[in-house]
Amino acid sequence: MRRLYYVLSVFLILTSSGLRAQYNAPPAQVNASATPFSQTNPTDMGGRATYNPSVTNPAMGLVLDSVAGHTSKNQAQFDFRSAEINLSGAVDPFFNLYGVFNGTPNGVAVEEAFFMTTSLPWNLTVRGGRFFANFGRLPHWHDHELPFVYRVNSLDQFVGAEAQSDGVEVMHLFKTPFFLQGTLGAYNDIGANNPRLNQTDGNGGGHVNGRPLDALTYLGRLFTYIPIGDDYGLDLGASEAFTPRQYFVGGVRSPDPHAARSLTGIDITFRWLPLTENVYRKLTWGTEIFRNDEVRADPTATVFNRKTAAAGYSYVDWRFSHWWSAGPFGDYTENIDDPASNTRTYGAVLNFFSSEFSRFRLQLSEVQDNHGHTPDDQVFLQWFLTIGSHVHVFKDR
Amino acid sequence: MNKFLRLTFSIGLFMLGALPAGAVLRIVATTPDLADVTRRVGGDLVKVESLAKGTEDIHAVPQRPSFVPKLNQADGVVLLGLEAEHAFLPALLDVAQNPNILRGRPGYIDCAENIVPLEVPTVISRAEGEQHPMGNPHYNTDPRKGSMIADAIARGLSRLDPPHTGVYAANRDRFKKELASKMEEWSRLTAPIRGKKAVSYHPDMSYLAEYLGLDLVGTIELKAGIPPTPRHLEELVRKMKDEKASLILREIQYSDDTSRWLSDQTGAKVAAVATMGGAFPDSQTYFGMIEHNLRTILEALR
Repeated sequence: MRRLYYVLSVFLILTSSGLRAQYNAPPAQVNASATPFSQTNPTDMGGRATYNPSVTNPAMGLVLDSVAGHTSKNQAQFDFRSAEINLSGAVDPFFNLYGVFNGTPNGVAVEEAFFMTTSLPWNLTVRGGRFFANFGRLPHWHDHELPFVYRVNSLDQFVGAEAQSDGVEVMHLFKTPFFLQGTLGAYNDIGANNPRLNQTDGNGGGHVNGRPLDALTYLGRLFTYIPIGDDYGLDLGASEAFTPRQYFVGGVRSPDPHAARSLTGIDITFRWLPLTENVYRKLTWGTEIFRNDEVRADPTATVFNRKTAAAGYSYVDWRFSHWWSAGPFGDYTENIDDPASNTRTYGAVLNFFSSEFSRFRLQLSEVQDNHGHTPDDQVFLQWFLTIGSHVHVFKDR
Repeated sequence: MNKFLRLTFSIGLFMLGALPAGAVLRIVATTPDLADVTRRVGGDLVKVESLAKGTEDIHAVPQRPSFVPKLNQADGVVLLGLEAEHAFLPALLDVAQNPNILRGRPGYIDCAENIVPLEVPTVISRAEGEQHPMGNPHYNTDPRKGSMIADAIARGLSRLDPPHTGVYAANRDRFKKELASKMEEWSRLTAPIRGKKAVSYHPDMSYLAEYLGLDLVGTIELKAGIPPTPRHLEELVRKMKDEKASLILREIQYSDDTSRWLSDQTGAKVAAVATMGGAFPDSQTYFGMIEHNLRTILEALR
């Protein structure tokens, strides 16, 4: 709880320094064009649009993500990963609505469905529903956007795959001359595949339909950007996902009233984005480090001990032509139950872009552990294509 | 909570601050040439910054987080429109948390509002490359559009600052008078260009070509935003020879290699041109950008 007070204090100090109650009802739409042009006939200055019931349809897109691979452990496989439909649109002047629906071999699921405010005062944005919590950098990227074919172990095991969560989040853009954004959130838990925070006993008992406030997960994050000249920049972020009490550990009710879980992350992204010929040349070096601290049960589920484990990844993506990019990556992940055990992944990718709407990726990688097991050698070919609505969002830059 | 925590908490609760009420309008323009025209029209009543430096491809201006506070604190944003800035501006406006400069609001100053665009696609499909569905947005390269840009900016500044409408109108008229004088001079200077044939790297020189009477016979790109394939380059060489195209317009944001190769194959000369102000040392202003392009084309055709 102390950590949260510190985060809240800093948040309030920086927020208060920019408080300005200037919320006005949005003005009426400004008709900036006295003689609007027509798309179908540029010289037609006086045509009236006829009624079109589809004019307020949401923007829609479809993403296909598939992989063909061979690993020394699991042999060959064609992995249809997902066909993802995304919808977005304005509800009214105050809210936007977003939905991402994912079809996978396991069925169709709602990956994200949330509202976001557009007109709050004090540089605030609120979103609520199901979304990828704003923890770290890559944890809230969809699988097909990642710089490697499969989510690396540090993201899978520490965050619980994508940072999918049901909850509410508030973001604030600080009134500083430099970019500084803060996030506070509250959720059931964070992680699309994070059964450790289920707060149930696995047999239908426990906090199934609700949970105490101290069993929710709370997030604090600060994110800033440091420009280094015109061509270079550094993104820096720090995140803390805190669950004050885990009532159930490994499916067994924990007697420890202080069984809190803390996931801390630091993300650093260095970019080279030259101002000239940057369609062909850019470099991104991304790194995240995680620390997980939680009470874990031994295999008999009778002994509970606090375990602290570390993990992290680093990758480089070098775009050296309009068509190609390439780079190495690595991951180190300690076992959450036994931090003395770890896995290490080393790999490299080669990407081909026929346009900004498609990407073909070849990845060679090897997963090792420190128990002398035979490494898993992997070859993957991934293809990603998209049609429909084309929006450059801030986090994808 | 210990004393330190209580203290920081209290400071947080009671610290107040407000941005000083500025005497000037804070305007963010997407390109340096628009920033220059805004300064000309706004005079001492505006403080203007440009997001792009001018050397970038406008379709790939980076979404630098350092742009976000500028937009957050801006009274207005001046843009080319016609989705020219689609790769960076909408995302930045989303994060900037400034409702006053969103599309349709008084602070959203779209210089395309009265432009009749060239090359409005009749077929909209990604098979045709990275199209601009509302038409070619690179009208700022045509000096005849300069007065319409100034009109749009004056209207926008007047919306934001009605008491100074007369000042903005007078500044705009001064700009237009200087533009008209320069255009007389440019017409005489560029008469030799009329009727010549050329290619450009990307389809963003159409407005300039129309102004100069230059006939664009093709682009180095296979389609807008799609790099050339070897076959396309072979066909382009043939076409340039058949059409006797003597000029290659190489926009500064694209690689020189292909243009030089094409020049070697066809004998056409390369002119390095700007699609935004700030691309070259002598093109920092709107007039500078136009004059640089005219001079470099004339030099190439000499």
